[in-house]
Amino acid sequence: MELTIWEGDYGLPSICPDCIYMMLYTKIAKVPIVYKHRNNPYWDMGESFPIFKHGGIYTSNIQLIIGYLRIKRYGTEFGLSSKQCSQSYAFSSLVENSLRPILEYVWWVDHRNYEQFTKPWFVKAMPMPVNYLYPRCRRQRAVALLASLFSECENQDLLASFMFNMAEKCFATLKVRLGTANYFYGAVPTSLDAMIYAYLAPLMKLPFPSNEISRLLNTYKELVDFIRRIDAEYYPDLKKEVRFAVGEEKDNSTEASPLSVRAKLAALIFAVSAMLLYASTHKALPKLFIFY
Amino acid sequence: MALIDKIQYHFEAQEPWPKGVKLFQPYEVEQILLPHNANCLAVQAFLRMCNLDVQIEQRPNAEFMSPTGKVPFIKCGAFLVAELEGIVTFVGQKGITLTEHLDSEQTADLRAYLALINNVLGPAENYVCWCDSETLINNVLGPAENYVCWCDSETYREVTKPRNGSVYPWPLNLIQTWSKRSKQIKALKTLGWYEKSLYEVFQEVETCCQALTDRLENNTYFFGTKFTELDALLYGHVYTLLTTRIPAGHNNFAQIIRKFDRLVKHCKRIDSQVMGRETDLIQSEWLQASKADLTPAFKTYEEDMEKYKKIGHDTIGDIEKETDWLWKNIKKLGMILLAILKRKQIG
Repeated sequence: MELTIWEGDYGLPSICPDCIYMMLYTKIAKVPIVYKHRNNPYWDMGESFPIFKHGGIYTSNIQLIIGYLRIKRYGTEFGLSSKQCSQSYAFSSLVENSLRPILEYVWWVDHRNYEQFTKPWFVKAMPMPVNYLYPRCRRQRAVALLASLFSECENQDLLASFMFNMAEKCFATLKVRLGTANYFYGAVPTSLDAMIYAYLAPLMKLPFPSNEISRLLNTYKELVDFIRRIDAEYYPDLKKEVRFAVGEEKDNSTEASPLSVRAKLAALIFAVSAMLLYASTHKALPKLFIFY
Repeated sequence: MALIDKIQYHFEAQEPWPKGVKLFQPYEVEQILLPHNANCLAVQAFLRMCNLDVQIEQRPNAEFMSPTGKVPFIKCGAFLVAELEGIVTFVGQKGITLTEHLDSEQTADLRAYLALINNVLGPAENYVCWCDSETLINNVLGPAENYVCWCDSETYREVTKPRNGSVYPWPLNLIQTWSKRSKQIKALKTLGWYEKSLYEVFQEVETCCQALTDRLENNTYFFGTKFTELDALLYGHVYTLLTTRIPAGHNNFAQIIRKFDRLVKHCKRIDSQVMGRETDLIQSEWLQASKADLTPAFKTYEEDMEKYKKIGHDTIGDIEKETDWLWKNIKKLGMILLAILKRKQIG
């Protein structure tokens, strides 16, 4: 079995929450699986990681992967009662409904974070032509998700305060549920733990420039301890160093100026070629040369 | 949804519940769609549980009057508050709440299950309403006479006119329906529901019902003997799904829910105790008759599902065809316009 995932950074096993979730799930379920770190999803014929491969099976749908692993007798919830299963299912939909939009907002939609952290990181981590394309597409997807969940999306301040309130409620709910236990259901982590870790760890570890929600998370000691506990248990040898560091402010400005020159050059070439194309299709090319 | 916060900031005087509060919703008989109906019923049940008087106003454009674009919403003094979550918060600020007897762990549970229902049953209803061609033609759709002059007979079987177009005059109903549908499809796509077949949607609903039954156990309501907003929301969805005839998958939505006896009983209990009406939810006669009819055709549940699988795949094909058709017409229109422009230039 093989799982293709995003590169990790800043002490995260991977940069994408879905990948973290799948990695941790397979680790908890003790699946014999090979992780392949990649930095270009377009190369692997898909737009998103993780990609699961086993024999002829090739999918990036998380539900399908979990279903397939369950058929192969790898699961994390075999010890739970039916009521606990039902609860875990309900909580996972709470996480899907609130933590996922919060993370998408902080990571992709918040303007300052996107311009100063997310975009530079992906520009640096991905290979040349697609690194400008991917962040833009990914941001559009995040905006579409927020628009479909919350109809009022235009006013940035309102959206920010709404997200903050939602994060507060969600963290409080999770804190109550976790209580003083090590994991959500007793001593052994389940898929719910993996899911919550996948959405909370990036919020805690990534250095976002506007970090109100991250700071809020740090005030919930139980949740922070929970993340540290999973780190210590499953990723003891994860490097904390930064690999695709976002450059300093100065570097950014020097990088920006050649980019704009390049953009101007591209625009110029495009305009000239369009003019020539138009002239040639309308049989005006000979006239043009005669005139000069 | 973000309006809830706006209210929280501007809400200073905590007045008691005033008289003449109005609840706005679409026309119940002609216009209302499945997901809207579920939400409206949930809010009505919630307000009745709180013993709050509201006057129900039916408006054709309730959706556009609403601050968040979703129905139903209440008008209380100068405030417009939409959707169950917003209304629960708003009523809570007036000091009226159904959840005071819960401890913090139960509150956490309540929020999780509310999210579960919104996350599974909501999109499932939207899916059946907007993506399933069979439903669009037969149930959600009104008469299609306007279409005859608009497109040929073959297309109008595929292109559909939902009930929500029924209150608008001729060209507007088509435009409104089309734009609404594309919006819904876009939303379902981002939530990952659009790619699912009808069979998978049924599976999701079944898992959700199973989880709710497991949580309900043998209790009267979810949290002991007193009802909460969770009960109201579940009632809204279950009642709507049980009583609305959906052609998709031969009304199998209702049959899936009927398999979960506790949910039906829970729904019936709220129906009689809160709403004060007795609806025959089981429809035993109808069920028996139909069972006799169905047995030769549908021998096992698995066979059923195979059938829906096929239907589900066909549906996606239909929608693609329809967009193709639209695209072609747009192209044609463009060609005609170009031709007119050229002729003018020549003239």
